[in-house]
Parts: sequence; structure tokens; C-alpha cells
Amino acid sequence: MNRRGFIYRLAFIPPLVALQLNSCGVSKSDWELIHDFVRDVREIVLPSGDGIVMEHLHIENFVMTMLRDCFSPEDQKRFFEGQQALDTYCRKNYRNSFETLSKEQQKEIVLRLNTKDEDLGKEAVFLFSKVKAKIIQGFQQSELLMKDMGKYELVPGRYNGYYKIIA
Amino acid sequence: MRDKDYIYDAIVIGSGISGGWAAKELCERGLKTLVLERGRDVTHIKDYPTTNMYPYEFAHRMELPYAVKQENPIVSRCYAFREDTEHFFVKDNEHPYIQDKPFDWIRGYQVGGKSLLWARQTQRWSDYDFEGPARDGFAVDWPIRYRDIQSWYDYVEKFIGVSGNNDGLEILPDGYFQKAYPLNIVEQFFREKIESRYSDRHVISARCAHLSNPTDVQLGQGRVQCQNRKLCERGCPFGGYFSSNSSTLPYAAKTGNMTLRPHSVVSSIIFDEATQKAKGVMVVDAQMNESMEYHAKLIFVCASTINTNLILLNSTSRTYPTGLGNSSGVLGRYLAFHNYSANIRAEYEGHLDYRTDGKNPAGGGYIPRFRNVKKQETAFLRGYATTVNASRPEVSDTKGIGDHLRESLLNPRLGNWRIGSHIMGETLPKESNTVTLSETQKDRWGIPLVRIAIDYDENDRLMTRDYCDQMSEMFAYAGFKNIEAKVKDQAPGLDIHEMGGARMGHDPKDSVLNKWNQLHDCKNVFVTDGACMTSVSTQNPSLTFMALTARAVDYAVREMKKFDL
Repeated sequence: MNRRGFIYRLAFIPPLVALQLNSCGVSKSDWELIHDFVRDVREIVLPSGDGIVMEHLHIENFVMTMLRDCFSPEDQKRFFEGQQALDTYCRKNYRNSFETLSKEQQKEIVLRLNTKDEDLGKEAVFLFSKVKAKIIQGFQQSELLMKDMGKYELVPGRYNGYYKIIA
Repeated sequence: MRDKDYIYDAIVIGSGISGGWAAKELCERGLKTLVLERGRDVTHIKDYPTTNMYPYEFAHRMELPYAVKQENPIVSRCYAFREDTEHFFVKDNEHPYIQDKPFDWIRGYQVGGKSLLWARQTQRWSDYDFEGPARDGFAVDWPIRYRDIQSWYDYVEKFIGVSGNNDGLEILPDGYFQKAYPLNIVEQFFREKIESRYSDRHVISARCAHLSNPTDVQLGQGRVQCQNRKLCERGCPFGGYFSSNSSTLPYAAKTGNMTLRPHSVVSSIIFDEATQKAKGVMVVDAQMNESMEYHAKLIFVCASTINTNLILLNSTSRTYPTGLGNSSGVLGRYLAFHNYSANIRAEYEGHLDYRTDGKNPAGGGYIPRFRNVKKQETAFLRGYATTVNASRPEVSDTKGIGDHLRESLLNPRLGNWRIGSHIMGETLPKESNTVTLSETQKDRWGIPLVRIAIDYDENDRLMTRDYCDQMSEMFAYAGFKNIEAKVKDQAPGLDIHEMGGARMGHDPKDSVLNKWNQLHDCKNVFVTDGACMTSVSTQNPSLTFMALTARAVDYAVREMKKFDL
């Protein structure tokens, strides 16, 4: 199925506008699909727990900002190809797109992506590696960890080069 | 504006680390001083918009977007050009220049210039540095020695505040220091290993312009103790490190004698054929795009090395058709820089019961030059200083996913110590290292574009190899593992230590400035920024620029009072 065309039809986007969206170089639907992937992957890679509700940290927004702004067009093309490859794989093997798989099926796929299983598509592995790295960065540099949990000090006011670690 | 508003006792071109000092010294001596800055105003604290932001408050966590890097390939190579600091850097396409050879020209066009961005390392020169050209037969002999500048180093250090130890080393004279930021346990361990094996190699606490224990002098400037934030390039609201913005410029303003004019691009110095002196400067208002003249009895050129060369070269007259001060023909030649072409890193598996706590603004240790100090010993001329620093970062296992990954990220463990160093080598000022003006291309204000042709050479390559060999040997002797020396293919300029082009010397036939930083050809013009440097040695240069500036102002004002200027 032509997923981009399908989404445009769902949204009642006239063909001319759809053509204009496509001609922008990066179509909105491509990024929407990546966003869906990031949302699903984040829930599996870094689930809530230890008293932390991950949804409150909005890590997906950070990941999307980084993917959109801090990668080259060549890398972004690979993201889209990776998403397409994964979609193709899931439809062939599960008869569903990745985002409509069950949580268990999604986790099965993510585990394989995490072990760099290129049967899922070389570009899918590339996409996942970048998304995972940014999920980790988003968590480590979240307000919760940096400020609330005190992992980062804006004003340390001290330096001790001989800090003895108490076992 | 009335005519008299265009006439001052002194004009200072540039408000960076040298210009700020010139302004302070001139104003304190009662001279009505116009400070011309080509960039925008930056007022201490008020104009540091990112200074109190957490990393998560930046959309890209301080990384610059791909498009910004693509649009600015030159400045993007600078370690300090980040999302939190980009507003203090000149973007590549804002002020173009011509690279006859690759040169990464890193600039800060604003009030305070690069004094907001500098690495704050402050080491004095010794006579091993000042005597270098004469001993080793390059450039020309410096017209000064350490004794000529020693009291001015004292003077500057007392004012700006420098942390460090008096280490008693001939190669790196002691000074007026606040307490040093001590080496950490692994840096100290390295020091003891090295000093047990090499009599001429010393690892000392890096000396830096941070207030570890501010005196009444700095407190009087409204500055307080450094808070170990290491966010210096954002501008420091504590005034914990020295900048023109936090220190010299407010001090100058306090006298009531300073007029600071931002957005003022100086195109040339006006030479009066009748008096054979400079009578003022031509300025383009960068906002209004209007030209105007300002007149003064005394002119200090502190526009930063390459722009100072540009202004002098562009200041043509009947007497000096190739540029003011260029009767020798050496103006715009013999530039040099610092060899930053290699670094080395390693790991250490000892002292695992210790870590550091807080942050060291000095950065760690410093090894002064040990090659060719007292006599020529190697196949290359001169030598290099190096940094050395150890840290113990937290690491997390990020291989997994799910609950395990979250727990790992929440509970990082301490890894081995990591040790790093980078070379800071002396390059030789060559006649072929030039700054010239384009005959065809001009900037938006009609000023010729500058052409830069400066490069590394075989002496630098031999020096870099020696650094890699010697540091690897020292690291191995200390028991460090996984030693990786890396030679970087970086262009000159990225060291941000370009110097020369209007060098000091004894003889007007082969130098531009005399021993007082005064143009041989035009007695009321002084150049006290990096352009004045005859050679570059290994030390971070800003302290020497400041000391030379204060010394030159003292001389100039004394000469003015004698009516000799």
C-alpha cells in the first residue's frame, strides 16, 4: 500500500496540496511515520519505572527535534528508508505495520534491531541506533535527572581532586 | 553631533583583551578616549542570555543544528561554538575573507571581543622566549627582554586575578598569583612519576585568569570568586574569569573619560602628511552604513591580529602607499600561530578509590616547554608546551533496553581514569605567512577583503611527531594504558593564537614597531594586540598582550606630556 497516499486521503488533502507537500523534499507523512516509530520505540527502550513516568519527560519530542535538525539530509533519507524497510518487513511477516503490532511483537522487533539484525533492513538498524542514542541522551539530559535528581550542577562552587569514594 | 564630539585625546580600535586594557589605562590617565568596536554592545551580565540555562533548556542540548554547521563550516570547527555560545561568534558568511591557504579564522565581533571566549590560560614569557629568534636565527631579535615587561606582568596579574603556584621554574617565571587550583590525584601522580625520571620536565597546576581567592582589587570591580561552573564562554555573571566586559571596560567607564562606540568598523587610519602623524581614523557605522572621521592625538590599534594588519595595510597615503608603518615592507608578513596539531589520550586503572568532585576551571596541569630550552637538541627548532588533565567520567551500560537500560542510566558506575593532553607548539614566523588585501573584492562597507596565506611546515611536523613520541613515552612510564596519539589535520587559525604581521624590532628597516609598540613610521600610533608579536613561543599569549598594552600606554602618555607625540 502507498502509505503516504493513504494518509493524504484520510486527511482529505487535495492532490495538488499533496504534491506540494511532497515537493518540499521531506514530506510531512514521512516524519509522522518516524514520529510514530520513535513513540513506540521509546516505550520499549526506556519504559516507565523506578517511580519515573517517562511520558512526563517528553523524550519523543526531543528525539524528533534532533532527528529533524541535527542530521544531514542523507542521514534523514536513510531514516525514511529504514522506516519503510521495517514497514515492509512487518507487513510481510506480521501482516501489519510496526505501530499496529502488539507490544510483544514490537518488543521482539526492537530486540532484534538492538542486536543489529540486518534481516530487518540495514537502514532500519541505522534508524533504530540513532533513535536509541537520542532517547538515552534525552533521558540523561532531562530536567528530572539533571536538576531534580542533581546529576548536573549549574553552580558547583567547588573542586576536589582527591574525593575519596566511600565503599 | 558637534565637531568637537569627533575629537578625542585618544582612540582605541577594538575592545577585546588588548583594547580593554588600552581603554582603562588611557582613561585612568585622564585622556578622553574613544573606544571603537566593530560589533554590537555586550554589557556585563545583562547581555549573557544563556549564562544560567541548564542543558535541557536548549532545544538541541547545546549541539548546533546541521544547517548551522553547514552554513558555518569554519567557525563550527571551534570547540566553543555551540548552541549556548553561538551569539558570541562571527558566522562565516557575515564577514568573508579569502583563504589563499586554509585558515580557520575564529572571531568574536562584539564589545569585549574574544575576551569573553578565551581559554583564560595565563603564562608569562621568560628570556628563553624573548631570546629565541636571536639565538635560533629566525624572525628578528625582540627589542625587549623579560626585565622590560616583568613589572607590567605584575601589574596586570594583580588587576585581573590569576590563579597558580610559584613553581620556581626558569622557563615560566613566577608571578602574583591567587591560590592555584590543585592537580587532582592522577595529575599529581603523573607529576611525581615524570619528575622522578626527567629533571627538566615539570607538571604544574595550570595558571589561569580565574578568581580562586579574589582580592579587594577584583571585588572592587564587582567580581567575585569563580564558582567552578566551566560555562565561561557564555559570559560569567560572577566575573569569575577576566574579560574586558567584566573588568577593564567598566573600570574605564567609571572614570568618565571613555566613550564606547559599538557598530564602528574602522576602515583606515588617517595620516597627516604635514605633521607626519596620524590625525584620526575613518569609521563606517555598521548600522547606518555611513562613513565618518574621528580625530585624536594618540591611536591604539587593538583590532585583533589580522584586522589590525588589515587596517594598517588599508591606511595608504602618499608617504606610505603600501600601508601605514610599512616603510620596511614587512607589514602583513611573518605571521605565526600555535601548533595545535596533535593530542593524546590514555586510561589509568589505578587510584580507583578516588574521583573528582566539582569542576576545575583551570583545566588541570600544564607542562612548560622542555625541548631546546637551553640549547638546540632536536631536528626541529623551538618546542612545545602541553596540557595534561585527568578525569573520571561516569559510564553506563547502554547495550540493553527496557528496565535494565533505565536502571543502568540511573545508576552509572565510575570508569577508569582518562588522561588527555594536547600540544601547544611554537611555529616560526615566515616571510611567506602573509596577510594581504584583495585588489578586487570588498566587504559590505567597501573595505578590501583580507587574504590569508599561513601554513604549517616541516618544522611543525617534526615537532608534532616528537610531541607524540615524548608524551606517549611519559604516559607509558606512568603506567597509563590504551595510549592513543592523534595527529590532527587542522588548519592554522583554529588555535585562535594568530600573531604577528606588525612585528616589534630594533630596526625600522625590518620591523614595524619599536620596543614600545610604537610604529617606527608614525609616532602616535601604537599596536598592542597579537599583531605586534615578533615570535610566538608556546605560552597562551593574552597575558603578554595585556602587559605590553599597559606598558605602551604608560610610555605613550609620558611622551605626550613631554610633547614628544
